[in-house]
Amino acid sequence: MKKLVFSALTALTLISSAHAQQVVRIGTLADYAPFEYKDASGKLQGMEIEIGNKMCAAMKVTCQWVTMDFDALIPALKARQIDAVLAQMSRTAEREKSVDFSRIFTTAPVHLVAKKGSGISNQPATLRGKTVGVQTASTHESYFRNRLPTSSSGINVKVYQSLDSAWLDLESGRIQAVFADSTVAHDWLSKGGQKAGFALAGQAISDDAIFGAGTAIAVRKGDSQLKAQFDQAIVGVHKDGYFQAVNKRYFPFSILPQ
Amino acid sequence: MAALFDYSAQLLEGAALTLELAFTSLCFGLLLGLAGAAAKMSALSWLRQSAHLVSNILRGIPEFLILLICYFGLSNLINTHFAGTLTLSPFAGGVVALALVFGAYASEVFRGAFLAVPKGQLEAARSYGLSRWQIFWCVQLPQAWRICLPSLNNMWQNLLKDTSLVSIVGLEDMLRKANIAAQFTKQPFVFYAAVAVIYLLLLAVSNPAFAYFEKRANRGYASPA
Repeated sequence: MKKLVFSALTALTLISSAHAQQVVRIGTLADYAPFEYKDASGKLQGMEIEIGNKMCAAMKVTCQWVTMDFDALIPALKARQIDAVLAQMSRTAEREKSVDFSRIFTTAPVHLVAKKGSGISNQPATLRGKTVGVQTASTHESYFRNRLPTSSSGINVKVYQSLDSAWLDLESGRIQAVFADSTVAHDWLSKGGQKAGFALAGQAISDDAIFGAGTAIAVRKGDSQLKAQFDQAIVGVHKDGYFQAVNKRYFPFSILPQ
Repeated sequence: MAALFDYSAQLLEGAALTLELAFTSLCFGLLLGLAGAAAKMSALSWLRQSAHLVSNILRGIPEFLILLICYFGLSNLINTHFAGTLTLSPFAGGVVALALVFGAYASEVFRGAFLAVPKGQLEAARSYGLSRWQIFWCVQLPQAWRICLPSLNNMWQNLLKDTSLVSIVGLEDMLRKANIAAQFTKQPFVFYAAVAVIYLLLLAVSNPAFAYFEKRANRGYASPA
């Protein structure tokens, strides 16, 4: 009997070590509140971190979060330093040349932000003669370059290395509007922008060809197994209401893909 | 200001990493610099020429690019040859890049310093029958050390500030921690000012150390008053 128990135990340990949890290293940002940021104790927090952890549990994998610059995410993925990217990365045709994407995880609505009562709205005519700030290499920049070039629209575009500097210039009046994702715009407005008299200007601007259908999780080209696991996990959190519940705590509008 | 207090532990953690990176790179950089200088003054012409070539290449490429090449390029190389068994940590990648650049510049500083030791000193040492090692250790090094100290202080200050480049590969040095806190709290100036003060404090501590070394190295020389 003793022997039987012993061999059963050995068999169990063998099974569990054979099924040792797969480790997935997910690259993300440390400075993109409220999606991913570090709190005062240095702990990674945010909407995508919460939902990401939930998805990892559903996938039965151990997730390791690795933070870096946005520009470094795709090179790190290719260099096998990480296995996936979850960092509000828009699924665009340009990026699909170098990485594979999961199904759409969140939509990424875009808004102009301007002083309340400035008359600026989502109508291009209200921006004639004004200057709009955008982040460099963003979909927002390419929207103005392609759809509303200065020569025909009369709108000046100022390109910033980071959105943080754009907000500072908006407050100081050097630019009259900032064009950014509604989500990060909401974060800035709620942490001081609103108090200083700024608000979302008009309706969200939609242009699927430029902004893509939304953000998704990037994996290495050809890593179809991990892509399939994430696809399934995304459907899971979208269907069981977890995504919506977390969404509600972070934003007063939904970023659930339709 | 309350935000600064909340994040102060994070900033100090970043400052510790900054110092750790700078010291590690300094140690390896000095060794590389000495080796480079020795190669440049070698009697073998192929060694001399290749040392010059390498240091010219390293000094000619922006440090930021060297860091990217070291971290991503080396990782790619390792991956293709060892298939995931070896990984380069961001810290190691940062140290390799910073030490290479420091070493390339230091090799010129050392070479200049050794050349500045008067030839007569060597001839005198040799005619006293000192061994090569004794000449290096007791005659050349103390005098070269004295000559290169001011340049080394400059390079150390640059190195300390260059460590902020490593944040691109995910290391959270002091400046990176400040960026993270600033993005969350939307109070950039508070954090940038705090980091500027910490950098100044770190250098305020290292300057007297170099002054002490210089004073020691200058024993036996009339003060240039």
